[in-house]
Amino acid sequence: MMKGRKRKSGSLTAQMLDPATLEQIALWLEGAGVASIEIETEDGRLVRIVTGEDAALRDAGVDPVAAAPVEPHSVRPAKSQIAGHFLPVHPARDAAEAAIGASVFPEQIVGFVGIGPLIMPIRAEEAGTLRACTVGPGDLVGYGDTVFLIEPAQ
Amino acid sequence: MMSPVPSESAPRFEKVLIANRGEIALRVQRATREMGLRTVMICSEADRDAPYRQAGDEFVCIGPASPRQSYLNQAAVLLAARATGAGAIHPGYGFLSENAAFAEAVERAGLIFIGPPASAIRTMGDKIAAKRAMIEAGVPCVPGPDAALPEDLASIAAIAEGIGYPVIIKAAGGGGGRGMRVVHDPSALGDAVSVTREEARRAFGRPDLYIEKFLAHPRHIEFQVLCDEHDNAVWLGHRDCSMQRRHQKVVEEAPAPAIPADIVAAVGERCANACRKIGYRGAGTFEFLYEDGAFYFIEMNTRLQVEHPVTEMTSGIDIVREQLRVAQGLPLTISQADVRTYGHSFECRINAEDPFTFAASPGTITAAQFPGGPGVRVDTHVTTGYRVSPHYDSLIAKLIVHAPTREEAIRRMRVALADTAIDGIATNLPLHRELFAEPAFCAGQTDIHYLETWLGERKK
Repeated sequence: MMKGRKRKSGSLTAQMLDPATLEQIALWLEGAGVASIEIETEDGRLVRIVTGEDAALRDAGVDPVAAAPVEPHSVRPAKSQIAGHFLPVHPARDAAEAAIGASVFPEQIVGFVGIGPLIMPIRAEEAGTLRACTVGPGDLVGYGDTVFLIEPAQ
Repeated sequence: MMSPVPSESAPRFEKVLIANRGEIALRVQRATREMGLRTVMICSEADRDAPYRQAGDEFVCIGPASPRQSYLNQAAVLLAARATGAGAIHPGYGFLSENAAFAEAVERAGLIFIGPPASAIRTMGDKIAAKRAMIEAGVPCVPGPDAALPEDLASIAAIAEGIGYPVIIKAAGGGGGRGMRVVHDPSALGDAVSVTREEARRAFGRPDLYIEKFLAHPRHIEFQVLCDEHDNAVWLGHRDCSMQRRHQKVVEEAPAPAIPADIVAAVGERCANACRKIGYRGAGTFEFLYEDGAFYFIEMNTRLQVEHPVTEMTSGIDIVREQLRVAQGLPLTISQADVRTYGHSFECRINAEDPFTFAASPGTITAAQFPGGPGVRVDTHVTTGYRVSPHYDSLIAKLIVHAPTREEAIRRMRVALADTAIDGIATNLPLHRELFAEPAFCAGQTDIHYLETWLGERKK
């Protein structure tokens, strides 16, 4: 299944963030064989729409569709420390360590990188709110790649 | 032992991780893609925005800018291979390319190391063992024992007297011009041995030294070989790499000028035979000193060389493609009878460095213009806007020309150099332009000391 990344220069209206609209877009994408797309708006919003089995993530607490509006300069990245495939949920657990919108503390595990049987954690560098996940489940990530965006606590 | 020839339709690997950076990463990647294989490029954080990131199938960062934490980090490279499903690793040159432990680790991980067996890397990495192997294979060596020097100075002095001064003391684990000292008379022997031994202990982790006759005005001539798992070994002609500064090659050419063809052929055959004897696999280079009509083996590089393009230009053989085929277990596409070299080729190493002080010149390239036309090849990874990192080797491009004769190749290189422009950083382009106007160089009257002497006079 293809993975698409779309940069849109026009504005993304609130209507488009309506769950029903997103559901319809997801169905269209799935029909077109697209696994996910990202839409970055002029005002700094990052929206990921995930289709098919990848959408099961939403049930695990990581809901890329529901990415909250994020001001680019107000967030800090949580980065992968190793090259591997992004795992939002540890294979031995049922739920993600932290859901989008949840508060996180320094060094808290927020996701994982898998290399075969080896599972390495991705940790929050500081306290704040988990605002967005910038990659899709199973995506190849490298050392230093941003995987989550965290809005620092005031 | 010969292996059964695998089927081309059932390759040993379909995806290659290229464990290197810069121009050689791009060179290997192109050959890999041409063969229909998928590629994984790795990078450090400093190379995250390298222009070649777009060219391959996958591109993944494996560590910080420091080579030790990225390109030399064996675990990180192997984990990246595992994560991306690569079936083979091409090490390029430098970094992990001549690391026997890495080659073993790759095989232990169930992957293919695109290079010789670890045993061959280890043997050739030990200069004493290499010399012994070459003597056994009939390859001519520099006069001197094929054993480590004893501890006591009196015995060493007796050996030096036997060889005849001047002699050179070398670290068994050294290479690339490091860990060696020339001794012109007996009074300097003791200090030279103790200093070199300490240097060898610190730099190479072992204090073993050996001694050889020091040749005063030799040329650096090397032979390119290719070997497969089926007892086939060929040599692809020879190169002259005498134009060196501090043991770093600056200009290479193929063939070496003015060496009788029968002498060349005899040494080339012995190199190929030596490969069969030691069970060599893949590409390799035998390096010799050449003086007064005689060749003396100095070392073997068990990897692809920076200067391999000049041999590709004169032989018409894609050496990286053959490396990949050999790693697949396939036989070489050529026999010795098929090897026909034609014309003359030069390579200029374009470095990001001051052309007078040779100080590294990292920074952003504000404009890059490279030449073209018949017989001109440019191997580079840089484009306008590329940032030359201070963390790595300063090589930013290789300018290669080919023409029917040496004289025509020189003229072609002059035009190619004139058509090359790199702005924003200092490069050694002015040095190359001057060199290709230098009468003695153009007449082929050089040795390994020529460039340093010429630079010294140029400074005055």
